[in-house]
Amino acid sequence: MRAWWRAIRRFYTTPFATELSVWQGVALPEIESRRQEALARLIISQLVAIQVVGVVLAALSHSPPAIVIAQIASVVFAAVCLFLLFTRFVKFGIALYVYGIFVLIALIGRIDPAGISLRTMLVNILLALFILLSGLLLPRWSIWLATGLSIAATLINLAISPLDPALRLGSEDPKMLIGTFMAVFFFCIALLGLLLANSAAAGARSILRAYEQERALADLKDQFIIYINHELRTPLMGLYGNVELVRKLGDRLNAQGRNEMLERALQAGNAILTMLSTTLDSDILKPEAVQIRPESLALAPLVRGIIERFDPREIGEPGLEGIAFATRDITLSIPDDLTVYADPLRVQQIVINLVSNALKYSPSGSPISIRAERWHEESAAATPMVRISVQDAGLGVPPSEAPKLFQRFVRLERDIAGSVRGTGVGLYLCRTLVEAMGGRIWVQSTGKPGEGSTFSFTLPQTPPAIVIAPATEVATGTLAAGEPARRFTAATLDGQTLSLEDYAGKRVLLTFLRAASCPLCGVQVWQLVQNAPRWRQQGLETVAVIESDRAETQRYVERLQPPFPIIPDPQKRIFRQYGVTSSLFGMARGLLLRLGIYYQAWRKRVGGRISSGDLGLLPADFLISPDLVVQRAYYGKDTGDHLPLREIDAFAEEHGGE
Amino acid sequence: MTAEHTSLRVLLIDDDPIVIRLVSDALTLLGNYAVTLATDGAAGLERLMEDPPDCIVVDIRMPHLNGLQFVRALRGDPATMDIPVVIISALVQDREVLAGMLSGADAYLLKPVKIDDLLHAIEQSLALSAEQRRQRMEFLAQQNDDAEKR
Repeated sequence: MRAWWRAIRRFYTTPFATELSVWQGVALPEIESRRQEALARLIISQLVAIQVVGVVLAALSHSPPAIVIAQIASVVFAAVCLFLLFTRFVKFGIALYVYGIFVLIALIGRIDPAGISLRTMLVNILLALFILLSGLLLPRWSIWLATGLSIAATLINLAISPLDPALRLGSEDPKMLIGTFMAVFFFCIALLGLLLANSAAAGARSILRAYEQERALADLKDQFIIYINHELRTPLMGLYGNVELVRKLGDRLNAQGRNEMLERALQAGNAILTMLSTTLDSDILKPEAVQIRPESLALAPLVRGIIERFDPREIGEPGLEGIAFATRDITLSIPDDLTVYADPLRVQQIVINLVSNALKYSPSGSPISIRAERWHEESAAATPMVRISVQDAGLGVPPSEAPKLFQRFVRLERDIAGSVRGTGVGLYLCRTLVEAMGGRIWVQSTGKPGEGSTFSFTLPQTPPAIVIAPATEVATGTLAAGEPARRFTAATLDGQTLSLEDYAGKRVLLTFLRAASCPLCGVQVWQLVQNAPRWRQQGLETVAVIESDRAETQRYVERLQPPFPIIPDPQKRIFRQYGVTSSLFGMARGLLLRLGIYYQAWRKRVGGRISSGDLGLLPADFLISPDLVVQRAYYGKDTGDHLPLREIDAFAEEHGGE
Repeated sequence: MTAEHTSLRVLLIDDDPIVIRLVSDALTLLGNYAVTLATDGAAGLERLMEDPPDCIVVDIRMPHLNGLQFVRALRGDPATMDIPVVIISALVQDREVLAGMLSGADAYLLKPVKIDDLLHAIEQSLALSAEQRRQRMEFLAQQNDDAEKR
């Protein structure tokens, strides 16, 4: 009895079971398919039960025998379909049940002696249920098939069956009206069914994706733990064993021998520390939480310091050619004046990772070269960068495997089986850190052993120092036809200023202003905040802020009440002047603006003379002399390079009243 | 440690510079063994042919020829099949240890290895007769077959 009760319960609850225990060991797509089948069994068995009740009611209410016989036939048909649902022909059973009903409906007016009556119309409307069912239990496209069949069955029924006189509206034949109404009704039901089926499928898909991602990550973490277990044991033996040896040998060891052993213990300890900082960093599991504290860094001393931390035998320090370990040439070519805007600790982590990889994956004795140079990405708007590269003469990376090298817990096929220790997180960590600092990382290699590989990454250059020149120092520009825009002073109109901004409209505007002799320069808003009183004394009267971050500008104006008027974001007005108001067509707008401005500038140039005074093109208030265009310097990602509010407040306290 | 060991030679094969120095110091200073070195399996085989040692201490993960391949090659050659072998490795999973023992090693020690344990394992493997070694190998292989059948 209890077993029966359990079976019935299972029958009703299985399709909705969420606990994984019910579906233990079954793949998720398979679970979805089984869930659908269980649901089909449940729904169709309930419908069959309703049909049986219908037969009894029809018999008791003295319905015409034809109707009762048709109903009994439909129950037998449904029972056959239901039986199929418990065999392996589940989908066929569902399809047979859902689509078989249309044949019955198409003929129902014929079967009913009254013809198309209220009773047959009510049965006809039930087809909507089957449209919904086909969406729930069969592939989604089957909704349209069911809808087509429903409409067709209704129309056939209307065409071949006589109309019950009771349905006649006056003298008119309402078949056309009924047909149209039913077609629209079924169509609406189909849309509803599609929405339901789509949302259910989307839910299932997202669960499937999350589940698979989670499982892949769990596998990777297992792998990672196994790797780390291996990796830590060898240096741990070096640390522990050497100390043990010193203790055991005691007085039998002379001072030099003792020092050597302790030195080796320290080296092993260093190896463990390096591993911790290169791979076991907590950032591995939470890349979005990487903390970056950028500052201006001189690269050469930093990299030199890192190289000194490596095992001297591996990097080729003379006099230590121990057992079977060849020395290595490590060449550094980094200009002394090269600086980057980055987090020193993070840069260290990246360089340690790349250099220790180069040491591990190239034969002992082969050279390694580390270089750094100024670097411009291909897009003109990009921030000026520095490229740092580490080149070895080792095994190389097969080009097909290069892209996945920077993913989490990934190691090359070759290395998993090989002797080189690794955790598969070092390069992932490098990528995370480099990207957080606004750069990118890549590898170049032919994949041929001996030709080695070059790992390169970029970091933003420290922007050049920005000097504000008072108006008196700025020459009035005079450009001959065809002459390129002149640099008025090296500091104010440094070419770098323009490339710092990524927004095409602003670049064009700045180009134009340069061509039109407007003294301009790029500073950050916080620099303006700090220097405002001094610049005011030097004759600065107006500041135009080309800056889309209105909130920041607003904050400044409110808190400081600056000693000169601020014109926020004049570019909008300029856009309008060229008849461009919509921001929807950004690309077209940029192009239009560019063409318009270049045309005007060219026309002026042909005239021979351009100065800020005769620029009717720009709103007069924008060109109050001396003008100053303030642009926020741009460091790759928005790293929050604004002066923090509390510093602005402190400044305001000091200078605001002046 | 005792005078009888002075003539015994140990071939140490490992690719890690720190481990190689540590183990060779320990064997020389505490065990009175004469130690020869190799940094990979292939070099180890060369040394073996030049001058067969009394015992071999070998790591598993090494370039060219790994430790397991080395031990199998050693055991496959009648001239060297009875040389005692001790594996020291950072591979800790059961199947890895099993593979190490099935390859024909007399002992499998997990890194970090304590010096006393290593000296003890070497002494034990030196004490094993050729017949005992063969019997143990057969026993292990039999156990493994049974386990696989199950």
